[in-house]
Amino acid sequence: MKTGKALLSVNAIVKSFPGTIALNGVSLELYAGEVHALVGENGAGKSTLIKIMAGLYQPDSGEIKMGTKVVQFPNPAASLGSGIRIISQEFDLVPTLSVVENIYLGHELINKFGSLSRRKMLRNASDLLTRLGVSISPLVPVSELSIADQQLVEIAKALSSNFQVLILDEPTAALNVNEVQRLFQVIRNLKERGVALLYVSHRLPEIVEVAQYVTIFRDGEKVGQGKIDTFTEHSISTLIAGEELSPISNSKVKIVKNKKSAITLKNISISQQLINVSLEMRFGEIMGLTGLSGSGRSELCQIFVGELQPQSGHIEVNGSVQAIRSVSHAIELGIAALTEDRSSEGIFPDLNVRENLFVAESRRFIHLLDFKKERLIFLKLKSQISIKAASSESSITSLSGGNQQKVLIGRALLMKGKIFVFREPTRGVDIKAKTEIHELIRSLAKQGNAVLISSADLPELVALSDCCAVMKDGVIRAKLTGKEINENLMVRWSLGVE
Amino acid sequence: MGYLVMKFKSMSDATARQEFLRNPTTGISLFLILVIFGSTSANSTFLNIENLRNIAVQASLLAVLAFGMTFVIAIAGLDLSVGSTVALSALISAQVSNHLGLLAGLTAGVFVGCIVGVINGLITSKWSVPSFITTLGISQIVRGGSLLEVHGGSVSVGDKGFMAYGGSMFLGVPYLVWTMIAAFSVLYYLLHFTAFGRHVIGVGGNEHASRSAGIATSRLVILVYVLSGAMAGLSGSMLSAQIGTVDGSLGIGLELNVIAVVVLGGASLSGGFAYLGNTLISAILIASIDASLNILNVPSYYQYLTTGVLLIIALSLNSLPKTRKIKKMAVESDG
Repeated sequence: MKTGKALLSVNAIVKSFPGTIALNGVSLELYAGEVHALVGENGAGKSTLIKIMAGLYQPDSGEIKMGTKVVQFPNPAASLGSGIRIISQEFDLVPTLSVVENIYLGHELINKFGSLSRRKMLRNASDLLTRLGVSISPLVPVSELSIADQQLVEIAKALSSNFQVLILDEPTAALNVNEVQRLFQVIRNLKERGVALLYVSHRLPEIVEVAQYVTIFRDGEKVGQGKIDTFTEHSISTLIAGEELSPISNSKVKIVKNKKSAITLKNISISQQLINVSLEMRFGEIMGLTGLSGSGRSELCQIFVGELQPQSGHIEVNGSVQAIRSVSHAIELGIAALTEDRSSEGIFPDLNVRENLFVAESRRFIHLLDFKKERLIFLKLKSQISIKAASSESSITSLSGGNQQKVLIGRALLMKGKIFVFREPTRGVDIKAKTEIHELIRSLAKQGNAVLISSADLPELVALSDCCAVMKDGVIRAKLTGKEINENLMVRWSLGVE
Repeated sequence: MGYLVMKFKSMSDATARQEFLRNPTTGISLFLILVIFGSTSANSTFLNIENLRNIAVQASLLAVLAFGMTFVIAIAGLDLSVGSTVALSALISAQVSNHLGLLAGLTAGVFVGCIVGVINGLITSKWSVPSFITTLGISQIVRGGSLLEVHGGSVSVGDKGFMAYGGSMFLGVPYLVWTMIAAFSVLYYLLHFTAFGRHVIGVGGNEHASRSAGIATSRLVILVYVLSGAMAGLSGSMLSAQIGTVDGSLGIGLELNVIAVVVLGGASLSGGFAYLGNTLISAILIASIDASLNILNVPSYYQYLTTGVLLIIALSLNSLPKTRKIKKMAVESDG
């Protein structure tokens, strides 16, 4: 059906895990000079397929071909040796090594005496970073980088050696608009060089922009495949979800005047990070907050949840002047929060769903656990916020990202606060779970709670917020309301062009 | 040169100063200078050449073990078998040298250590047994083996060459110290100038990432335990040559001292860090403290107390900047 030569093809791959079939006979071909998009909900089997291509998993049946040759990848080294590179969303970086050391990890340049050619690696890495438009020193340890910079290092690492096939797994989840455009430029260059690319993402507009071909997975099966121009964003999302999604509605709560203030920040400053920030969260309202990385958005959220103390200015909670001294103090004041990074700061991977829900429930020192009651509450929450888990005792890591996030939202709900600070509530979450989480956030506001959503996902803020603050360089540049809340204005304010 | 220039360019003066203070080398070096000054002013025989040589030999025996442990701790492991391995290789090297001379004795000692290391490495990496458990078990087995080897008795070194190695000097410096310097040089090169060294840090810092980057992680883990075993074997042979009469109960509890030395040098038990130079300074520090308490005629039970207290003080001073840094990072983390 196509004239080009498939560089990498997988054929009728089946992979099952105890209790589930992750992939049920999927096939996919990657052609030189083409971007092939792979989409599907979390848990649809995308990650499993990538791990098979990476040599981390072995398929139960089916074959992998490089060109016309059938190959096997018993370990990652074999996959790398065949010219496959993967930019993983799990940040496969060593925090204690520097940027350049990470970029060349596993394929260090060696001189003829067998020692490392440090200078050469440094020079090449600097060139590579410059090409990606990153202004970080290659000698900084990765642990000191922001998530966005780590993602860019991950990309540089993949590009640092020769390869034929590049797999990008949610590469833009942590990037801002500029960085995404630079990544796309890199992708276009690679295409011209004849690299075959597999692009995995939840962001449909990106896929339409960058890909020529698309494959859609649902529940481990291929439900759609073809040239990108034979699909629309709407038809793709229908296939992904397997049902008609109600279009993200703009039925916002009407702004009623004289709503009671939940938290008021007045002239909050932290040297160089936040400058004279004033913001009011009101009960019954959803406040959006956006800004590029480094804009002070994270710091502002940290003030709301007690992780950070302002150097000057004052805070009112429920009408009385308060310092939010610590996270536990914030919870006492009725502020419940979602952390920014679900896997590293949110879930306890070794605990089950129930334990993850109740882990913060009591801060009393002696507290007898009532398992029966916990299970009952779990069942109630499960139906209330539709957590898909086999039972309360399932391991949290067996859940998809979206369901893990719902468990964390459940944890926040159990804190019985009236103020919610949600950071990146739907990062790395599939479309269906995203819609459900949005619905949940809206109903929280309807019930009279105050909600703050800090997000880099602009359509999300457009869909949800009653008022949206845009930050740049530690300052709130704009507070948008009503019709002003649109992507165009948000981008312009956050870039400072307005 | 270009490398260093860039490294300095990337730091402003203020960060350079912070970097200097935060660096664990600074802390233990200052501490060592303090100990030397204090001991000298309390008793001037501390700076006596004989005493310094004695300190150097004691430090060398400890440092060689700690070099191996530095690699093990860098991959987030522990090797509790080094104390027993010292005993077994001390016995074997003494016996072999009595028949075949110095070189054969040393080789046999190191070889014994390598074998213990291979077993540790295989069990840890192939059967995924935590290194703490593996090496604890192997430690008992090797200890039993050492005692059996001589039926609870002892072995005396008879070979002249082996005795000379343990007691003589070259250019005024004992051969044992030269041995330590050679081991340090080789391992320093391995750690900082070869891909092997970098992979050690990689596996300790993020094993999954290292595997995804195509590193044969289980082979690397085995090699690290072999390295640690070899160093224990070398240290055992050195000890045997130095003291002349050895038995199966040598080095009981030594592994904990060795771990303390490495951690005092700024390593983290969660892996991903290795400072070989600091390990050396810290071994000298411990040996100096011991020697100084000896000179001051402090009874040995006070020595334990002092060492323990100093260790806690040094470690908490050491981790203070780290904690502060982590807090600062949390503040700075992406915006």
